[in-house]
Amino acid sequence: MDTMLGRAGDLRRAGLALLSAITAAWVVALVAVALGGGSGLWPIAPFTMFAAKRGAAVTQRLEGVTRGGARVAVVPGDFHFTRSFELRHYLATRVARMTGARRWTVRPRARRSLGVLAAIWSRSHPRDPLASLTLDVRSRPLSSGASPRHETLTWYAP
Amino acid sequence: VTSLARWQRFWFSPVPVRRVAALRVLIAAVALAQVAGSTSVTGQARADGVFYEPTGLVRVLGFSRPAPELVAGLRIALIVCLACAVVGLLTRVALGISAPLFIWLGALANSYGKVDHGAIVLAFALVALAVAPAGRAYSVDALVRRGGAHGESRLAGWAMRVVMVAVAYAYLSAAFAKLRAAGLGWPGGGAFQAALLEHATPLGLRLAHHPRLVEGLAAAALLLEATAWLAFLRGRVRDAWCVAAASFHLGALALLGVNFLPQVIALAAFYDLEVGAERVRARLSDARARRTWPRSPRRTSRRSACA
Repeated sequence: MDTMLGRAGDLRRAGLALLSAITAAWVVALVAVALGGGSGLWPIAPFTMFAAKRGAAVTQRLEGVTRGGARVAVVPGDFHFTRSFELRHYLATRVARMTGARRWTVRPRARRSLGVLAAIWSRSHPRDPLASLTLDVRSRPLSSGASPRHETLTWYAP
Repeated sequence: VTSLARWQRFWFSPVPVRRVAALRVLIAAVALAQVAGSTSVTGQARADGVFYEPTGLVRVLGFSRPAPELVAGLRIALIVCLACAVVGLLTRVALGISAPLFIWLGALANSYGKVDHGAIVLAFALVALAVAPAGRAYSVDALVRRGGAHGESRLAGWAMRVVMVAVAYAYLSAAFAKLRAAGLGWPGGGAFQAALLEHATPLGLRLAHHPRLVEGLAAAALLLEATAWLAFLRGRVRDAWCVAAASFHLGALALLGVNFLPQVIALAAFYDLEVGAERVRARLSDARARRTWPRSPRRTSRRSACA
């Protein structure tokens, strides 16, 4: 009986030691991703939202013109998204983005990437597909006196 | 006292099992509300593959992109498991399935370019609760066993600590990221003002036109994040910090539309939840007693009338 109780105690101690080691590894991982930045390994990720300095507020929208001539706002829901983050990320990384108040960075093959969005939209609207799709980006400087900036990039159907 | 002993005491000090059980009810309920209330993960699964950029766990594990039907099925399984975890039915099994499912679906949801920070604390909390004896009170399991748990447990203490550390990490990591990116001048760095203009809520747009006020609120937010360690102190300092944190998240919801409700609920880990739960139970039985009390004299008077 004593031996059994002793073994149970040993097992419990070993279990706690293992949990303690896992906990230590978790804490080290949290500190490492916080110090290292980047996106981490979700859910081990740093909380970097709203951290970067900003010189301007940037808003962007997509507007399409169909072959029938109708103007349509192309929105996240057209791509099965319930939030705008995914589409904003695609546009920023594959098409173009306003980096700061002055710089407008157009990605290589930006028009082709816009065309991909137009093709996805047109697949769900086969009766009246897009003839063109325009990314409209407005940058509003936060410091008073600076003038707003407005850039557009358009894809046209071949 | 050696560092190792301090470490063990910090993580494994026993706490009442009822405390971790009460936290289970709160965490599982808020996770259930979050998963059941959002269809974004099933929507993403139907999106074109061009948007898919597997990150984190999904990339490391090397899974291919799952079919929309599989994602929808797993979401329903997660909802069922979380509902079981709330009521404490087969608690350990329910939490044991919920935790990896929640993490995997969460990692999948983050594979479209946006890291969702709001669910991180929930993910860690579900893992910790799956390990802890979280079903030994306030649960169907406890009713079936016909015995509430009154004891203390080291694993319960560990689970509470994991949630506390996860909560504190969220704020401290956020403060560190801001200070590293912009230094002490972060409040005047435009990040908050730009966010107000871009998120464009009615209240946020009105506030954005008052740069001094925006800067003051940003400074208060940074101070709150950098002092998250205060929550580990007991008493009024902790209470004041937790109230400030809850107000901060309510403000973020109103001004930016950013929902960090799970983070607010997780603040409960810093409190002796079993005391609150017993108070609620006592009040409920008081109310029940008050409801039944007026009937007794009537019954008595009827009996005496009969006599």
